[in-house]
Amino acid sequence: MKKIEKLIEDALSAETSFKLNQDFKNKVVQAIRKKERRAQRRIYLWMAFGILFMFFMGYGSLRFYFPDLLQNINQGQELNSLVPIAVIVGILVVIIQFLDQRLIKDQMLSH
Amino acid sequence: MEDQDLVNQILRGSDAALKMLIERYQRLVAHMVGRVIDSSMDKEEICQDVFIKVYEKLNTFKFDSKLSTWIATIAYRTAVNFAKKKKIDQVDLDQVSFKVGEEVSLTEEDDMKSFIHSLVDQLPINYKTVLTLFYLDGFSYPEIVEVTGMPEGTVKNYIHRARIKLKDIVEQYAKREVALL
Repeated sequence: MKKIEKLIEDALSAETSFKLNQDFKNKVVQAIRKKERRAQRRIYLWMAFGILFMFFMGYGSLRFYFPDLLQNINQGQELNSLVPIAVIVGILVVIIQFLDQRLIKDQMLSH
Repeated sequence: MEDQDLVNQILRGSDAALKMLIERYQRLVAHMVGRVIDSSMDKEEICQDVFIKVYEKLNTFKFDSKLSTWIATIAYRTAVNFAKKKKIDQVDLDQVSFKVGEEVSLTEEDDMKSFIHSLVDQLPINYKTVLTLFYLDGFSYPEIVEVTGMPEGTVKNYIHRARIKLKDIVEQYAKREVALL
C-alpha cells in the first residue's frame, strides 16, 4: 500500500499534459500592444470629440450671449478668425495629454 | 534577472522583459488554468487573459509577496471566474462519482500516472487547485492560502481528503486488477 501512496505522490508531482507552445509569449505581447494601441486610439477619438464639442459650445455661447460681437466680425473672416483659436486649443489639449502620460509613467516607475 | 528588475523593466516598456516574465511563469499559469478548465482552446485563451491582467496590474504590485504567488492568485481567480461563467459545477468531494476506465495496467508506471491524472481531473475545482499548487508547483500552505483565499485548515483538509480519496480508488482498482489476473 506504501507503493500506491508513492505512485499517487509521483503522479501529482508529474507535469500535466497541457503545455503552452513556444510562440505563446509573442502572442501575449502582441495582444497587449494591440490592446494598448486600441485604448490610445479611443483616447484620441474622445479628445477630438471633446475639442469639437468645446469649439461648438464656445461658438454657440458667443452667438447666444454676445450676438453683437459676432455680427461685427465680417462674415467672410468669421471662420478664419476662429480657426487659429481652435488650433491653439487643440495643441494645448495634446500637450496636456502628453504631460499627463509622462507624469503617470514616471509615477509608475518610481514604484 | 531578479523579479524586481524584471518588473521595473516591464514598467519602462521593455518587450524583452515582458517575454521573459511570461516564459518564467507560463508553466505555473498553465498548471492552474489547465487543471480548472477542460477545453484546450479555452485554456490557451485564459492563459493569455491571465498575462494581460498581470501586465495591466503590474504597477500595483508592491512585492509584499512573491511574484509567483501573485501571478498564481490572478490565474486562480481568472480560471475560477471562467468556470463559474461556464457553469462548471463546484460540488463537494463526496458528491463526485469517479469514472474509471477499463484499459489501465497497474504494472505500467506511465499508465498509472495518467490513470491518477484522470482521477485528479474529476476532482472538484478547489481540490484540484490545492493539489496542483502543493505537489506540482511546490507552494507552501501559507502561499496556497494567499492564492485561494481559503483558510489554512481547509487547504490541509482538502489535500488530506483528496489523497485519501485517490488512494481508495487506486486500491479498489488494484484489487480488481489482481482479481482479474
